[in-house]
Amino acid sequence: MATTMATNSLPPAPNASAVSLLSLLSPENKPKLIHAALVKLLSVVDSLWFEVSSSLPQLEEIAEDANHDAKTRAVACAYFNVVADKNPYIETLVCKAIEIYTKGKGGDDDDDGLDVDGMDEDEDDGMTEKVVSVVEKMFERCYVDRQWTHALGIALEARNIDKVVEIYTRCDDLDEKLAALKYGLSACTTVVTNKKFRNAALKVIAEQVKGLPPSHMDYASRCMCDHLLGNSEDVWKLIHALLKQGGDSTLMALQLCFDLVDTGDQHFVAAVAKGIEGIAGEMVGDLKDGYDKCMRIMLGGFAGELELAFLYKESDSDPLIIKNLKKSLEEKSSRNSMLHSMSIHTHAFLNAGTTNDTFLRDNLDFLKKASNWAKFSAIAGLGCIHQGHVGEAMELLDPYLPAEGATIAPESGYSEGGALMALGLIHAKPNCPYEKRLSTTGYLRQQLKNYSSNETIAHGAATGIGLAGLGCRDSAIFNELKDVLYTDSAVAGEAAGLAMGMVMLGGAGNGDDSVTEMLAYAKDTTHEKIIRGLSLGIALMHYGLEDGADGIIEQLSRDRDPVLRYGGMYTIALAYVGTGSNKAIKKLLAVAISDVSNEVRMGAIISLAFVLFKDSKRVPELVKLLLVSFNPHVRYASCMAVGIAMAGTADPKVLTMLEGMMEDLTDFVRQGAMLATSMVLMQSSDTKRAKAFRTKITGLVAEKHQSPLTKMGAILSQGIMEAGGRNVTLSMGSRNGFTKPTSVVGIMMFMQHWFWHPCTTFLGLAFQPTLMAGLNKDLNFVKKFTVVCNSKPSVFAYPARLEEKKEEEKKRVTTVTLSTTAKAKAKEEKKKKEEEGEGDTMEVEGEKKEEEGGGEKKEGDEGVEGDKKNEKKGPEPKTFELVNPSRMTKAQPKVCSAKPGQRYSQLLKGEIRGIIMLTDSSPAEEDEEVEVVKAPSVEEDEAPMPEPFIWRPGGAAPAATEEGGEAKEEAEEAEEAEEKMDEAKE
Amino acid sequence: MALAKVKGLLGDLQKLVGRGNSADLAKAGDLIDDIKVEIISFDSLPPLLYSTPNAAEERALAASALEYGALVAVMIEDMELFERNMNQLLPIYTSCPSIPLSPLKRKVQGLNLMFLLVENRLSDFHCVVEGYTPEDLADSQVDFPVKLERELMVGSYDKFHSANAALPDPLYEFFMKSLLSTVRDNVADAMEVSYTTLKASDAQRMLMFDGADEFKEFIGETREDWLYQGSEICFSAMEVGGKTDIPSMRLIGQTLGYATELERIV
Repeated sequence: MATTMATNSLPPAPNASAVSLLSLLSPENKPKLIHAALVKLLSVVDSLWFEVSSSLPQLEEIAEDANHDAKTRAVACAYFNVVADKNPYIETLVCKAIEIYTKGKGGDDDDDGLDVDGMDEDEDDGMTEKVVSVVEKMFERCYVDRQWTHALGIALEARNIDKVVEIYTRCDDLDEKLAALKYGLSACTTVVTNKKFRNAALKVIAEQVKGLPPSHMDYASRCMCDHLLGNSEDVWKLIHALLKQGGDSTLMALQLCFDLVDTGDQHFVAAVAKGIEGIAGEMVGDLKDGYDKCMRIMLGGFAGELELAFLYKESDSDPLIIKNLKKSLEEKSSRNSMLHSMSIHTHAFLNAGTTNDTFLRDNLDFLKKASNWAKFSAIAGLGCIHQGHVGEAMELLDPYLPAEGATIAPESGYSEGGALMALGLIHAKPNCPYEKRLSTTGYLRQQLKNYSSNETIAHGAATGIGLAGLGCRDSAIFNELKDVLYTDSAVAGEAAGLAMGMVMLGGAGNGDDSVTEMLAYAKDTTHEKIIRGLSLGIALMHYGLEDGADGIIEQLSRDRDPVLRYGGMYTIALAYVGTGSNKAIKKLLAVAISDVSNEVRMGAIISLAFVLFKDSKRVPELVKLLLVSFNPHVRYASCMAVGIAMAGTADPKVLTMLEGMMEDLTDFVRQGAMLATSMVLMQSSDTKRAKAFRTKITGLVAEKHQSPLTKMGAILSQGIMEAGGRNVTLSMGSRNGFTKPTSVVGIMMFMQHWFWHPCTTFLGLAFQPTLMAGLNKDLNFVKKFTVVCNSKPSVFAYPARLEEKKEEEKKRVTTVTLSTTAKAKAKEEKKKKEEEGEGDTMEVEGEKKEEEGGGEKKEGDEGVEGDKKNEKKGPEPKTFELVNPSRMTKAQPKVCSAKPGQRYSQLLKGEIRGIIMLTDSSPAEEDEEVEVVKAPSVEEDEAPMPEPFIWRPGGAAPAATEEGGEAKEEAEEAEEAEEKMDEAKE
Repeated sequence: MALAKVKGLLGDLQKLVGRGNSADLAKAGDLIDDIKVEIISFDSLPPLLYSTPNAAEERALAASALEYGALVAVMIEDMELFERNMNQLLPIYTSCPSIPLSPLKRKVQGLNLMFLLVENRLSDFHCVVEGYTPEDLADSQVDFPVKLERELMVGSYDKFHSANAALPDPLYEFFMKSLLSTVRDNVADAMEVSYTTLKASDAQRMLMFDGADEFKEFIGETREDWLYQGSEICFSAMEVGGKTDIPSMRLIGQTLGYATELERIV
């Protein structure tokens, strides 16, 4: 017996089997035999659990059988005891139990009716009390080990609200509780797909956050919780309380306002603003200042102003790109109007939001070549360039807007229509001043009434209304648009349908019969364009409704008309945007492979990118097989889905995937692959791949035998890749994980360029500036705030600008010799380095460890090497500093931190991204080095500071700076442009 | 200590089994259980298989005790007990090939195959046969069930009858009896389908009955619907295979459905 005891801990033989012992457990055996077998079995169960597991029922019987003595039963019970032991058998047992538990409670089905109140009611077959008790014990173990997040994960997955409450009440350490609350919040926004349960869980989290003592209060999470629950009252009360406290609390209030505006949820912001407005009376004296600022942020469009100022100032737009493009288009003997129009779109993308339209003004001849709808797009593109430039929108577009009382021939009106759409684009983002948006919408409505007989202008005006009134849900506007629809004009009707959707964005749930009406008209009309407009309008109206849209989705996706089915796919996309709902994905995939219409299949695949944008890594996996489909439309759509989902990530795997597609036999698949690659490579620095792609797309445009569709892709790609002066990215989510309606609508409408080229401009709506801007209590940029980025400067650097062609040619001749000498030099350098010791290589390794996105990093390094060869610089520094404000790309915040020991520091710990409020360690001192936030040009009465950029010649400007002078010139040019356009018209 | 005890018990067991009357066999069963309790503590046996100092001896002892256990199970005609014994014994055979060949091993192996045949666990049967060495298979005790299985599979039931006369060991009879009734059932089923009437004497021969009384007993017990008409047995009361209806409409509909779906996909 002694040997037995000694060897018990050793593992059994590798090929051992417990079958001999298990055979002794059957009830026919004598009790003493069973007892001996049980004892022996327990010593090997760790490694032979897989055999034992099938005999668990037998063990259970023994444990419960009264014929056995207590000792035997105790041993049998040991197999089910999972108190504190950690061994493979028990872990497996627990895993199984948890699996059954979560399946029984939640499962991955979204459509099962959810019982939030209690867990005892719908006991599933697999859910025995035993399983529950095992999981309960597991929870206990988590509590003892203080693994709150683990327990929370299981509770959330099992959709057990009681457990969620229990976990938070059991958690007694405040820091840990805070972490658990944050974890719960992020899990609720990303993983929990069931809306009902999500809201229940959020309610619990909100309550818990509110219960935290002031020392641990997390205002940002609290605000976010209430926002997710749509509880505007609590938010404005919170902001109110913070404002009343004054001091740093005011800063917190301002930060919360910025976060709210950043989410793009205008209704919620408006509700909060209204609440705060209601207590304006209390805000007197010192408090008045904070109150004014809050209102300025929420309704006054301060965030938009700041973004505009940033994009204008920090723009790294390379004028040579568009110049070269123009050259290569002009070189060609046969002019293609479509490619010409695309190049103007590209220009709009390149300068989106930067207000820099110098090229167009300098090259009016080039612009003039655009006729008809191309002219419409060209003017609408101005709206993209001047996005958010609300101050002078009317003056800017004045040359193109319909003149007062002028009559316009029914066959013209393209520039007028375009200008109206541009006006809409300028005012589309919800961070524009509220009043401005309202007045613009009013103006556009008036224009729509005046020119309802002219299709083109009506089209422009309707689209403009849709944009400026995006999501305002004003039923008066809706009815006006409906009148346009009933004129049954294809062009105007399509725009009206879309605009109806945009105006009522997400507003289908209010129970009126507008959707039914739209659907009825779609079935009635003979114009395919109107049907498409309406079906997409319906899709827009179901934005974010999740299961509330299931009825209409079912109805649309079963319709005989492929155009309506197409709308059905986008309804899924918008209703379930960012939820990752399995039900939606299943449905989309089924349609993607089985529908008879190519367009519907395309719509379904692209919709995947919308549903999964928060978990975007899944998209390439899902569409991998579709990329090799025999159907070119499916391949195109798969490319686009990958591009949209992975925009701005520069993921090497995705790039490799798309690289293959660029050699596809079908021209439009190549187009899709290029568009997608350019999206993925947005804001990437000069890596090897990015460079290669740039060379490829510039070369493609000049190629003689390339199909126009492929060239179109190449032209647009140049614009997307360097969009917005290289300071914007394509993203559907906001900084805090909310879904941005404008971006979603922008991308969705951009995808309609397949049918209607003027839709291309909509992409401008989806561009989001990637910035880091630290503000002090006066909402000024603090110059003394620096951020340290722990990576080599080249990793996040702007790509090098192109050089003038002459030089490039010179270079090309010499490259042959250069490459060899460069290699030789590199070798020499290497030798030197080796002699010097391994210092440098060590550095590189350390770098690689530092950042997780290894692939990107590596490529960055390659770029560095290239620089070294050419410029013979010393070794690159390991870190660099960013001044406030500056660009902060998607991947950058991970390696950035505020420089320690500064006068200013972050108010909220966390990623340095977006607009952040800074606390001042010595508030008594005056800080000279601040910079006022100002849009490139603002009307005098809004901004107290001197204008840097005056538009109106003869305006009462205090001191015209250099920029002001430029602006004057520009204004003159604009007048010229107007004249020339008029000439062109005639 | 345990080793010595097992040795002693095994000696007693051999004596009891040698005598072979029912009272002794019952005692032997108890004795085997005692031995089993002891040998559980042997770490040299599966699943632990440690090489303890006495490993070889322990394994050999355990194997022979369990072999006796299997024989006793057959003698008292308890199939479940036999199976449990084999479950303990076989892992020892497979994981300790070094133990010396015991005189009973072949017999137990052959009986095990017979057992699997009776249970109709043919896949297990073949698995076990695959695992045997040529020497194992050459033994007449093992060879017998292997041949038997082949004949059963091809349906030569008459050869089965002749095999019944040449059992390698009287212990096989227990399994043979069960097999025989299975075979009879099969033959009877075949007869029902093949003939409308058949002479009673022929039927009796085909069903391998030596006497008419046994035959009648069999009919009375299992084939109540067979009718005696003089010296002939009539099966016509049986429904011989229903008219098979081809569900043409359903098939047509299904095929058309596939065609439309195929068209959609392409």
